[in-house]
Amino acid sequence: MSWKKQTVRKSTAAFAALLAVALAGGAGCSSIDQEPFDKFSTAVSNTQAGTENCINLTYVLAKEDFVKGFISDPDSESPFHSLQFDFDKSQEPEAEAAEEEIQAEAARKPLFVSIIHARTALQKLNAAFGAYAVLLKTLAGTKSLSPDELKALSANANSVATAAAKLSKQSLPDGTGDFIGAAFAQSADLYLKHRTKAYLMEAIRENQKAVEEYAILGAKLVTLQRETLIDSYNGKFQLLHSRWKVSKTEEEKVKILEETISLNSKTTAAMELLNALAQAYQLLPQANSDLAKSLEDDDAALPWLNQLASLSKELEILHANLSSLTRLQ
Amino acid sequence: MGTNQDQYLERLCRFNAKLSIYLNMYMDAPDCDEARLDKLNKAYRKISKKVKALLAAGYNCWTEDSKLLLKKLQDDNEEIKGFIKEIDHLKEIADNIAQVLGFVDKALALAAGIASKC
Repeated sequence: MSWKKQTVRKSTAAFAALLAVALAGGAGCSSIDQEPFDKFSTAVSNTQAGTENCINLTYVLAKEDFVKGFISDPDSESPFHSLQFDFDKSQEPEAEAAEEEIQAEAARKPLFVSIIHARTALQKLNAAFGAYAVLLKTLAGTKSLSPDELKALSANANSVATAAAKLSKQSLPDGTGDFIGAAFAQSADLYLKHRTKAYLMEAIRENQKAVEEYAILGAKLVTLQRETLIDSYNGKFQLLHSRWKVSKTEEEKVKILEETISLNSKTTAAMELLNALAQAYQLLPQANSDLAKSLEDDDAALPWLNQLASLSKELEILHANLSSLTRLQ
Repeated sequence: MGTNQDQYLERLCRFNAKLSIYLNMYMDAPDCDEARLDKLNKAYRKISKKVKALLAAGYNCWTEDSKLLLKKLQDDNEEIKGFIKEIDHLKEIADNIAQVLGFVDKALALAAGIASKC
């Protein structure tokens, strides 16, 4: 027998032994079907991918709209403000501004500035859902998790979710509480101690309301981005249309046409992405509920989770489409 | 602010988007009335400016200074819905010049009314 063949046989035997140990260990710790949790985690991760690109387009269009509007009407939207770098301010506790004052301040800012805040809010919200999905996947997995690790993962998700809600300037209904609430943590803790599926199922169900409220926040942020994109697109299209009406040379006409085609294809791609994102946020709570069902019944149908999973694949394609169109510019 | 009021920001955005489409159609129609086009354009710009401010404030935008506009949107709700449908219908008709020209006074009255509360 050659040296090569011996090595292959040895490796195969070692792999088989390792696989047997891993399988025995897995079955001993938990008999949870991992697939639904993997699907949920992948879907949430894909939702994150598309957000940035389409908001960037909205930002560019809104900024152009602001500059054009500002030049033709010096009173439009708001005067310029210089940046302030007050390093001492962060050391003092910040006084809570009245809601009316916050809204008035927001309305004074140009729209493109608000888009930046909304983008960060959405990124943070996506990160919170991402952390929640990872937490669930880890809990459902065979790898053991210490109570401290559970606390750290929950705290991480809660901190980004709270930051997202604050940045979005949207008020959550009274009693929404933390993104990952104490009731979830308690049941998850019991699950870690006893490895009984019912505790994990309870943990997920305990968190259903929070998932619903934060998903509504995400859907609202996406809708605002969609309306902003439509408004900015219309402003830009009006300008192109007006230029077309007075254009005389063929060279001018070709340039306007090319700009219009590029604007239309990018806006269409971004709108498709935003529509899919809004749909994903609508499906998240039902998918969360399906995860609990998967723990109750191994053969449960899980229609919402499957819809979210297929939508997330579509999101990947739409994201790639918009990215390639943006690179073409 | 309740969800009931949330829909009016989206309704206003949708109205202004359709108004923009109508403006383009009217501008392209031969024999369009320049004075009416100008008025329509001014109303569109005024509403658009308000839309931007409201979008910047998010859904919690119906503060005291925007309450009159909210009331107008609530009062004109059915008319706005009809306007949106009408524009969608006009877009679908291949040879729509006569209908586009004939629709201008209705569009102008609704747009000017909303713009006056912006």
